[in-house]
Amino acid sequence: MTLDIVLIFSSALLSIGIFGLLTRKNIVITLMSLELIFNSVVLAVIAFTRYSIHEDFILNSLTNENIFHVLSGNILGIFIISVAAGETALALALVLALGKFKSTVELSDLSEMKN
Amino acid sequence: MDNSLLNIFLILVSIVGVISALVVVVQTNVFRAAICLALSFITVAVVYFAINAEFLGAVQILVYVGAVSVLMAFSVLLVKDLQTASSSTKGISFYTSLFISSLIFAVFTYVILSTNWTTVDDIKSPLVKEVLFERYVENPDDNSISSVKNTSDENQIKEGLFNNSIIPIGTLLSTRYFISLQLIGLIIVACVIGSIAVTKNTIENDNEGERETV
Repeated sequence: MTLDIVLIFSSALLSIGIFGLLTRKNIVITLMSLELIFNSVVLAVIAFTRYSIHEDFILNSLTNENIFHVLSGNILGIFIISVAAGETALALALVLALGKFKSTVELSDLSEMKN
Repeated sequence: MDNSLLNIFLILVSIVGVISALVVVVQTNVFRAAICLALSFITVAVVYFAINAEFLGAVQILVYVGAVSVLMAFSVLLVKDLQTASSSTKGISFYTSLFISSLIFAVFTYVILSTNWTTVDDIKSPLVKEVLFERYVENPDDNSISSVKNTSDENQIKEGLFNNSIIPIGTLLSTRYFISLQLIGLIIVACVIGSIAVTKNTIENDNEGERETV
């Protein structure tokens, strides 16, 4: 039941993020929607790490080194968060440069590479 | 009883998080959207703390609430005309994207509720329960793991994996996933250098432009 609640929260965040990504034209709000999607993915990974554990996996790996792999999902979450943070910093630098050069923050105004 | 209290708490937190995330995508003021995004991140961090992932919760608050949201707010302040975003939409219309996203949510919810997940409640073995949620004993000779009842040596008793997850995560990060950790560091350094290069060029060009006008 708890797994269901967390996964539904995660899918709600995912669909809200997709909605924002599809509708909004502002670059920064598009980035925020992207962050919401990253968050929902990490949330789902952590929920599965905590609640969806198979008994045989632990019984087959009862040594101190192997038992830690139950928590591998947390490592995946940390990696996703770090890559997302770096990507956001780069994207916001691009937004700053765009604001200086073209003085626009609308995605539909950026059509230099079309055709 | 404990579990149902946790469920009610998680439902309340999720409602707050979903509402603040909705405010982010419909808000026309970008600064307010950044603040609501921070609130949404905090609710996700609260969910992490509630489901025994304390390290992830701390990382979430430090990185997302502390860095990403503040960065968003700063970029709003630095770029003019950014504060009030137009509410106009892209090529896809409002109702089409509403339909697509609610279809995705409905399908996910149906799949989640109709799947019979293998959860921790199905675990029958008392040893596995002790290893995960209570305390277990690590035998130093062959690294094997056994129940707490078999030992009298206090030094060999370890906390369960989800009771104290910091030490296992640190061990994994510094042994098996060490190369991956270094690669993540390399990626972040590349991102920092790239963003400095992009913004530095902008500022230099800006200064030259000012000199020409003077």
